[in-house]
Amino acid sequence: MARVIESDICIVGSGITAALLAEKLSEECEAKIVVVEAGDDVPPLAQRSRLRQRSLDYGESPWPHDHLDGYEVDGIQSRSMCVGGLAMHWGGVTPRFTPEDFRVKSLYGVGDDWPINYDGLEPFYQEAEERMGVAGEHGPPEADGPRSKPYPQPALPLTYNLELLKPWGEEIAPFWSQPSAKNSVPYKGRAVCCRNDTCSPICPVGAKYSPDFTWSALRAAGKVELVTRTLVRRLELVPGADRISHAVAVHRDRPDEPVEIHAKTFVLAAGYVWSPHLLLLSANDRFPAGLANRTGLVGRYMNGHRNVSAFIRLPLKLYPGMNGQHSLMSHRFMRPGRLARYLRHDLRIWESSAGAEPRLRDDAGRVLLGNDLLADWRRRAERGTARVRAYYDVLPHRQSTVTLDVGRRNAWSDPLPKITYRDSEESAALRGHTEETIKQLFQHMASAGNGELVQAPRVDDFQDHPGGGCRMGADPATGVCDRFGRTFDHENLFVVGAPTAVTGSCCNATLTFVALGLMAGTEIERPFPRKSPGTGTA
Amino acid sequence: MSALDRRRFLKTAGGAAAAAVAAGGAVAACTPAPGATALDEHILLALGETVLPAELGADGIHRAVSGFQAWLAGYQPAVETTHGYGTGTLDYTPAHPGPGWAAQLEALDLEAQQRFGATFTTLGPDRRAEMVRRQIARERVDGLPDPVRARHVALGLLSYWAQTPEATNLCYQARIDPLTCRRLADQAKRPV
Repeated sequence: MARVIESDICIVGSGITAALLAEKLSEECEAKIVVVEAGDDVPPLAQRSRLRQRSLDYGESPWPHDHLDGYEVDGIQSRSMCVGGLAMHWGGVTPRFTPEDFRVKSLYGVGDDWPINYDGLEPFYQEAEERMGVAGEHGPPEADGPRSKPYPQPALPLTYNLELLKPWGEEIAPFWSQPSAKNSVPYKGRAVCCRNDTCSPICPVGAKYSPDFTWSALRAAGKVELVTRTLVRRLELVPGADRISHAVAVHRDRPDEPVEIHAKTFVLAAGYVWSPHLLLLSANDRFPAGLANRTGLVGRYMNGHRNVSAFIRLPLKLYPGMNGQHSLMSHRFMRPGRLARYLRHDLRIWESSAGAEPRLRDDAGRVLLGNDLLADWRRRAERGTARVRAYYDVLPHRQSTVTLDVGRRNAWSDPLPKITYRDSEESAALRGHTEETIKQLFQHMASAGNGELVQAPRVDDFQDHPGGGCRMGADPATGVCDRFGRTFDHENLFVVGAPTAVTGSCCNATLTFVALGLMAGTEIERPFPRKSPGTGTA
Repeated sequence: MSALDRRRFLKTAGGAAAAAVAAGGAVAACTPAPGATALDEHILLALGETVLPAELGADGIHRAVSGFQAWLAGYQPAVETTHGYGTGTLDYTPAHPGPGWAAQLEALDLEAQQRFGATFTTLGPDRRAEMVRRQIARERVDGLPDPVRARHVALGLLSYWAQTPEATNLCYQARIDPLTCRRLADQAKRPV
């Protein structure tokens, strides 16, 4: 006998998009919202100073038990599966994409345009920034996207180090304080940042937004039911129809007692791997290739961005350690104007101690102890180091995929996902040019500051801020879902956040994923009665 | 950015004292791990006088050595380590370094007695340094490792100290106080 949970809206997954979407829905419509999360609750704020210290002292995970065992998948996959998801680890960096991101085909003749444009998403960027509390300053128009309102918080001040580095960076492009979901002023009951400098992986004071704060507030107010330790294994259709009837789940502590979650509307907010994975697992006679997959696009066009980074020694007296996770940002190269060959990237500058750390041996190989070690350290610390990094846009191939791996199964015999990234033909052809151009830019920056590269620039092959797998499109031939995340095949099934992204842009993408989710919320809530003014929490 | 990269980021971009301990500070109280061994405090202090900068003064050296002992006492092997974006791999803290380090301290003392007819603690600084240099010279690395992965106790102590905020402050002769809670507005000022 299955345990049945009834709801109006069932959200699968509890990451950052799910949290802020649930908050919006709870404020704006009369609906019973049930959120299903396979992982556990995370330790409360009161424990985080201790966990942070253990992490610093010994490298221990500050988020113990934040994943499911037995989920070693083929392909790069972050392991966090807990209330709050990956955003419990995030650095709180919240740039917007620029208008060009949504029109790369029209502007540059590469990749695909999104079915939305920047202007359409802009109000939801603002809403996302206000909900999480972003501190930022608007960059100059030629180097930053437009915005309709100021940031909800003043920008985080630049450190003394970044103030020194800014004029150097601005010989290349305009730079400004990195927008961040970290409090520069008290915000929604959370503290001001005090430079603990461990934003990723853990903020011990709650100055950085993380989704658990939203869940705690929603649960305390009885606005959502969050069911933890419960893994959704498949979605079932109404017999003879394409509507979703219920989700079939298993509670990890009571595997012999199936759980069914019934709802009028289902929202997949399980991230870039688990959302398409669940659709593929839910294959049935009507949809033998998986739900929402009549046109075969589920699990395709997985995207992200690679980066090139370098350390540059400069004739500047810097003091590394003041607030190393804060940075200068420029989007100048995300807005390049006309291009002979497609290349877009962001650019960030951090303080660093690379090349000026204490060391065991001097250049002659002599072991350094005591005063000798200190003198050597001081000598090398007389000059400063900047870390520079550029994420560059990688356009996804249709064969950049999440598929079912029948050779690897979880404890309930469900196939695990297999993740295979692949650049589009055009991105693959441009890769050498892209990385070489960025390396030359770093060399130019070093020369402009009378400095030098500490070592050759490094290319990180990992595609960061991954998305895709259920991309949005103008029609079923181009996407799994429409611009609101509604799947073309199932009128009561939505996918939100990262999986719906058409491309990964070339900057941190979390804010965009949330904005997409909030835009979807306007359609998800439509069938339900609107809440009377004053009954929400906004 | 992989978990490894993020850890490297903390250690390099975040400042010289990233991934560090607060000197003499908030090592969490916990039950000593099985196999944990307290290090001989007298020999360890003599080792500290040998490998740490004299500029720290007797108090500073004592503080660093005590902090190292407290840090070691709090160590737990086989605890899941930080994982983050871009890796499916889980890892765990390595075996407790305490027993090996305790044996190395004992060996230093025995060597001192056999070679010089004196305990390590009573040797002069040059002889102590010569003995320690010979041990560390076997290390193939140029940089300082994570303390827990140091193969010799001298390197463990040195690495531990070098990652403290106190060490960074001493190097830069300024109150940077990395990885500690400080007023946000003050970050625009030059540390003094």
